[in-house]
Amino acid sequence: MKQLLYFIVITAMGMSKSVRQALVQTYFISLMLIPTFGLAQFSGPSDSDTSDREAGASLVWLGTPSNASESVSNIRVGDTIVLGIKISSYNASKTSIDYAHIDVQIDKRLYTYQNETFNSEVSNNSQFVGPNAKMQWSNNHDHYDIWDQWQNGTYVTDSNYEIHHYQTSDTSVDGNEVETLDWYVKFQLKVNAFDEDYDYTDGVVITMGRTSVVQSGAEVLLDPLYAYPNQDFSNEPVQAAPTFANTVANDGQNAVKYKSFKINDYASNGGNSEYGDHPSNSAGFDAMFDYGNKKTTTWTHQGRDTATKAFTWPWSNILPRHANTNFGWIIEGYFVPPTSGTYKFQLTSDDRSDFWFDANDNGTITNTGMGMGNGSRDVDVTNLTAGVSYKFRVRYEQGAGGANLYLKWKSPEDVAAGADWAFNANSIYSIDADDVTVTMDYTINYNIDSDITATDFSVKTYYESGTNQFTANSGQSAVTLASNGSADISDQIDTDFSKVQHVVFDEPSSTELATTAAAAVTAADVYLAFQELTDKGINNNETGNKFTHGIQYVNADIDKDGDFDFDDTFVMLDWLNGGTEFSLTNLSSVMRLIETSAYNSVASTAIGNYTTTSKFPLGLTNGTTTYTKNITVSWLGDVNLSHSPTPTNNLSVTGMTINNAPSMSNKRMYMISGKEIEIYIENEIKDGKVHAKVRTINAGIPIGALQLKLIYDKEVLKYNQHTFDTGATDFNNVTENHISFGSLKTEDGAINNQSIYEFVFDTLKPIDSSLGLILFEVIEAVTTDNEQVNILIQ
Amino acid sequence: MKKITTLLFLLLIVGCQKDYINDIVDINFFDQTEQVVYNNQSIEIILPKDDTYSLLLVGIEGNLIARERFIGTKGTNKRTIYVSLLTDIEEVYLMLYNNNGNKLEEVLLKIN
Repeated sequence: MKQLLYFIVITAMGMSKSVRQALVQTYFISLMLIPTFGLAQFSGPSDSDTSDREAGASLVWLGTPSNASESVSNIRVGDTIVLGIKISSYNASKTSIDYAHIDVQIDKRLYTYQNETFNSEVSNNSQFVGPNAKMQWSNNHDHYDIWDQWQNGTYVTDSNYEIHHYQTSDTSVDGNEVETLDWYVKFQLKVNAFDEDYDYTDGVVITMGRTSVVQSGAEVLLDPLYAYPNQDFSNEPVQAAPTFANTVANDGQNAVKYKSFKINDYASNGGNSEYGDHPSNSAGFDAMFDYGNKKTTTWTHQGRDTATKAFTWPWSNILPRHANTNFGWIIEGYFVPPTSGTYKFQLTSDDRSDFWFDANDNGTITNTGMGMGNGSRDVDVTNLTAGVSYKFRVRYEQGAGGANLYLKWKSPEDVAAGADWAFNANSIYSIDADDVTVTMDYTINYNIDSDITATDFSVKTYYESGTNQFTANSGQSAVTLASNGSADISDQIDTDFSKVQHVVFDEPSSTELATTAAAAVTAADVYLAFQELTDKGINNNETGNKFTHGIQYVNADIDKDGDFDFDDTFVMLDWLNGGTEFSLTNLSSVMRLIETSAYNSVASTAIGNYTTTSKFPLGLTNGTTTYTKNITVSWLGDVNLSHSPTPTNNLSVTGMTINNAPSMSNKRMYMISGKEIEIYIENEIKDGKVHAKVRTINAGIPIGALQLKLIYDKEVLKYNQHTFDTGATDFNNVTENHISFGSLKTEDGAINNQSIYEFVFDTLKPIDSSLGLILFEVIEAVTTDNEQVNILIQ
Repeated sequence: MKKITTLLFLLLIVGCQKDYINDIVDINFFDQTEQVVYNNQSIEIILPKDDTYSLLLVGIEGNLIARERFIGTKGTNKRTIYVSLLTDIEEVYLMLYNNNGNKLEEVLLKIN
């Protein structure tokens, strides 16, 4: 490639000026069209006065630090560009250049100098800077005759400029051939905002220079040394890009990107036009919006805004423009058809507009040819596939007078149904819908009882990957519930709305699960359930009820058959006795998640409507990014709602009277009466066994249910038997190191005023004492009116 | 030689001193206001007469944790204290009651 470039340059020197200029022009065009063309000598000889040259120094365009092939036309204010200096020898007897210094003048208003880098193949480099200095040309010589300028020119002080002197003395590498390098030094400049009409390429100029070779042990100059053409690096002005306005914060649905132009600005061009007042064809639009080369066009706005604003009217809600006359827009977006087939598009405008569409979704956007307007035009775009993002572009110009712009369409179904033209913002995206990153704000407020430690739980998001199959969204992490039960899952959601997603509680350990269930389902729950049944509860459509909220019936349906009856109380008793009738396989077998609004109004007759589950559907909606979901957590078997929030609405049944139902709004289901009973505990070693006895002293308080816990040292003791004397239905659940025991009255009346619970343990090793081998814990006691009673161990 | 004899004599005296570590168990456990205990620790308590007594573990806030009833004999009685179940308790009172419900002794146990 390098040889090709030299061939072009050298060959051009033998041509006429016009031919050379044409060649150079073609060369630059090829650079612009083939961005991967790579390193290139940006400037070439273009003046016949250089025909007697011996050497040349040129500025070389090296793109940007990250892309050496970046086109000059893509450079904007704030970008950093890279330029290099190339040395050429045109005298066959003066090759193997071993020395060069070239001075470059920088306009500091246009550029901020960053740094320089010498080519690794040259050595003995140096650079000094003449700050606040500007070239004072010697007008006895051409300005591009930089050797003679070096001899005759001077510097003058000017704070707007600085001079960089790049010097290399290549004495050892590659046989002293600086001229063989694509550049011997390169430097970076940051483009400043100054004046969009200013030719930025004039801001970097080669001013002075010298090159030499060693011949017969002496330095021989290459004279003259020219810089060309005109010592700058381009002929394209750089216009400051307007600030990108994010009226719509994020790329996505109902959004487009736009550029807004001031057009027909004749005053800026000496009263002369550069294109038609209104474009009559596509090329007319091209010229009108060629802000880089047209003085009568200024790029005034750019940004992201709603598709609604872009393609509906009136004046009060349209895209930004410098004024209400002589403005134009380029609006781009992606059309995502909801169904497949041929879509009819209608563009209506005053003044002109055209419509481009990438119907093949292959990156080539073409003019649909529907015409330029004014008025309404339509076009069929065939073979669109549902869900695919098709890029489109609308160009519009307004001169003066009436104005409007509408884009509407008909789906195949609309056409079949004879529907009218319509605009649907949800079908338009600012970028490919597949690339949309939706910033979701989704908070779930779990209304979780204060007796449940919310921070013990965490949730993740899953999507339905099949029937009753759920797969965790990729890249997510568990979100631990805050102490108030809230969980911000915004970052955990897959925004592919085709996936039905759920927020799912992480499964606790079996021990944690058992502990939660043991705390939630106690003798008081079972007793209340028995009372409800004994009183012929609501679900049997009779009076005399103890339940005051529908959720109690749901929670009391512990066998999950959609009915609350004695089968459930049997399972509850079995649970107290350590049986296995109460299914406790995982969290979803006992956790119940109900949207709070529904939870507060559960009907007693709707037991079967609320299943236990540890997951909840997210219910995402296209176009909605902010969600707040309130879910109440209750537990199967928690009949008295001691570990579940109390609904705000009391149970009401048409035509029925709920006896003795206090107002429970915002109160716990059980009430603390302030009453207190005592239990007397004592261990004793008798006949080589340890006897542990509990005696209740109820002091006349009618106790309906009592539950205690005995903890024993399993390293020393082994449970043998128990004897209870309570006058009630007793339960005794012996586990490896503790015993849950107690009584509840399943009939009328109360537990014996002085009830006895006695346990006998075998000893696993000889002992002389049992102090500390057995401890008792209080669980709960309730009166026959379901009032909670304090228990004092004596 | 005289010096050597004196040295050997002193060594003999030192070597014949009582082992004080062994003597600790002979001291009434309640003679101290507080004791450091570990699980399975054997203690000795001195009782005034043959009778039925109770040993209680009582929390710092006065809550009863455990009670054992036993028949004691006058003089030194060995008992074992188990504290492995007191997982979240650092200090607890050990109290001795007679059969009439009167507290005889009390010591603060610091659980090791």
